[in-house]
Amino acid sequence: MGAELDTNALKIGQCLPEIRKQITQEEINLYAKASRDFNPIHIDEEFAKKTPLGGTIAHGMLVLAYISQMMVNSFGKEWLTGGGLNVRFKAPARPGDLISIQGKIRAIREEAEQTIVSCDVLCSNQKNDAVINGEAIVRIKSENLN
Amino acid sequence: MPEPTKVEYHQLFAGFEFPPQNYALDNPTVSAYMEATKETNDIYRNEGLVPPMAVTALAMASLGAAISMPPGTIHVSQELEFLKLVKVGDTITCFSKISRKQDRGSLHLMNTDITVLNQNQEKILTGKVGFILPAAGKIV
Repeated sequence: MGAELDTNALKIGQCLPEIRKQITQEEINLYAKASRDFNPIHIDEEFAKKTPLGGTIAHGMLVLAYISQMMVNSFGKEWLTGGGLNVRFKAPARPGDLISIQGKIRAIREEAEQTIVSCDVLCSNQKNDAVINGEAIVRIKSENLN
Repeated sequence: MPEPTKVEYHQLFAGFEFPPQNYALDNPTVSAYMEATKETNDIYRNEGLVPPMAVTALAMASLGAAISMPPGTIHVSQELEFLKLVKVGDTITCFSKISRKQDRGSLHLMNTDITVLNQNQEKILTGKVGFILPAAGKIV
């Protein structure tokens, strides 16, 4: 799988291919090792229970990685060399949560031999609470368009 | 690589630069990241590329290794720009600098700029990270 979207036929309002991810404690533990972030709020259930959060939460960067997955699924290598994110973490994702990752093209503009595609992006949980929201931008070089 | 000495929040100021941290993006490091995030796009495996968020995770690790964050610290915002392809086998150097530090009531706001270079000194990623930290002894 490279890019799912035809970058020559993008439209404002077009939805990006949605992905869904189930958050598990096992996955959080794997991410802690991979990212070297061993903050106990993520991996120590006894510690986390005593905090106002009441239990462990996923790393925000793990959930943000899912937005990047949606963007690379949509735009392929263009995302890797011309992608940008500007997001806010709105609420924690917890083990057991089912996270829906969605995006929609908000604007397309031409600028200096490139097409800049702006997308609204949202991660929400099974209660439709926003976990992360913000904007993703992809710069597509004109030479890569037909 | 030895862990750097952690800096306490009260020692930080706008303009403070952390010692750069180097990471080798070897196969085990990248594979562990892809397994943890259940990354399945073939573009990475077929072309030996590294997910940009794996680079970001290590840039964040360099910050975590450098700052002593109090319990209750919240990562509130993130800006990122991916500039160049990163390949398995590359070595990256992560630079971080405090761009803003502000006390607001019982909370501290702190923004940090991050820049990541590859072994050829090419800029591959830039970003800004926003944190809210509780005042001493308070957990938000």
